[in-house]
Amino acid sequence: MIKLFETLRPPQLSSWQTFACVMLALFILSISTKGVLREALAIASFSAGMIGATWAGLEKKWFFTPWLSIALLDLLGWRVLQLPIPLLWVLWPPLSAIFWFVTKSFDWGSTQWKLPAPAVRQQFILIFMSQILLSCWLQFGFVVQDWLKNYPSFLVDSFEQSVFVAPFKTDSPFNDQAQPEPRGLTLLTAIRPEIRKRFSQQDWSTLEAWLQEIWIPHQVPDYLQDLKQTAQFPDLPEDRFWDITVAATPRRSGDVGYEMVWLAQWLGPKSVQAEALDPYTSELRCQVLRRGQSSEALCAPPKVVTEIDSKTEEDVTDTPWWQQLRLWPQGRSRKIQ
Amino acid sequence: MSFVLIPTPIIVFQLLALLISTTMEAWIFFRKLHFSRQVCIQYAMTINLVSTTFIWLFGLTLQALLPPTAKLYVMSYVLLGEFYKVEQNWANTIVFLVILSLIFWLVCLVEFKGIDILQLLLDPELNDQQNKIGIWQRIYTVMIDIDSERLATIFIANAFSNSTILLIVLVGLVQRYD
Repeated sequence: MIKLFETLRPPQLSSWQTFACVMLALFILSISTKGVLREALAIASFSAGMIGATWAGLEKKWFFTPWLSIALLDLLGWRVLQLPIPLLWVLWPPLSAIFWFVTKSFDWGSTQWKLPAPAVRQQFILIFMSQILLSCWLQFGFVVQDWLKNYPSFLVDSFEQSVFVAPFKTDSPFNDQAQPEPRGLTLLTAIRPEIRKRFSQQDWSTLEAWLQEIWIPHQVPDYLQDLKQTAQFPDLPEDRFWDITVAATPRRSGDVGYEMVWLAQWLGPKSVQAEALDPYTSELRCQVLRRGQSSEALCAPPKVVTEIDSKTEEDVTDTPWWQQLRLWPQGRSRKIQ
Repeated sequence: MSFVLIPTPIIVFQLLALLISTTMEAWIFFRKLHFSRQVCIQYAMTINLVSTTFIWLFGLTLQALLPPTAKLYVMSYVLLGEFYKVEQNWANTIVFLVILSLIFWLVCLVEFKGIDILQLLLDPELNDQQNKIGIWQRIYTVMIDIDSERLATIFIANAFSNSTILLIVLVGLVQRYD
């Protein structure tokens, strides 16, 4: 304790210890206040700490001083100016390199700028370029995260063939991403209650008339858009690469009615593994049953048609039923009333 | 269990490629351009860093400007290692070769001018306060000057180092598909 006090006692007014004391004083003041004043005092305390740490680093010639100072400045920019976190990460390495050069080109004795010697310049160019490269890697990482935000279905695919990225398993509580699922499945889950509602308690003869019309898979873009709006399902750029079709076939046994299948197929890029073991295609099966002159719809939870781990190689060689259905002429669009 | 995608494979590959190309190019500069050993290594390291960074900046800017469909092509290759909707294998190869040769020529150009500007920036004369010629004037002079011997050396150095990297990649690929 006494040693800490000794270290922090300012030897003169203009020293890093002064800033450390100011930081402590402002910090204590800020805990005892409330509201805007508390925030302002906390920021002032942090700024004093930042200046103090930089000063101490320059005085003691720590090699990491520029990186520390710019990291603290980044934190300040994040808290006060609310700058986006990726931007601050990307700016951190090159700004640190520039700060390093600034400390080398400022003469503290005569408080004047001077151009450093060629050896220092060479060192700076190497440090600066390596930091820019580091920034590029960081930016690339953020770009990939951004892609996955707009195209989340890629997460169900295999990244084995990629020379650029590798999946990194994490159980971190900071990662809010749940178990990845294809967006087709997410969509079908979202519209399931609405489909059930729309197909229950309807006039049976009207319902049957157009259930008979969709005996082969049909795209129903307008109807789907309406369903999505009702379910408040947000649009994403990847949505246009999903082919959503609906087909209905009469039930062969049990109650009179139809089996309606909503099928979501991914038309975007797939890895070689996904071509064989399709992790994208999802389906929603509903039984639309006749109840006197009315109807009742029962929908099972939607599921991915082919699960990667439950599929063996023999199964893949069989043509699945939906691909047999796809042999029918495509592109028919019929509006369901 | 969830996961995040991190670009470790490309970072490891790039570090390896930088190491190889720096070593080979420094050796060729030493033989052809008659600088000292230390200067050669410094120059080779710097211009390789400059050209690598240039390619990254170029690629990152390009992907930001691409329309959604073209972006999907890039995403398909970067994330899944597959060319989207290119069925034939030879088409993949041609697209890949065109992109690679484009990158190669860009790198040669950037390194050729990079070494000139580097030499200018490290010139001890810049410390001389009496020298009145402005830095931009000097950079302009350097930019329009073409030293054909130096250009040839940089071309050879790059051809050598890139061939070596390509050879290593091929050996890796053969093992993978064996």
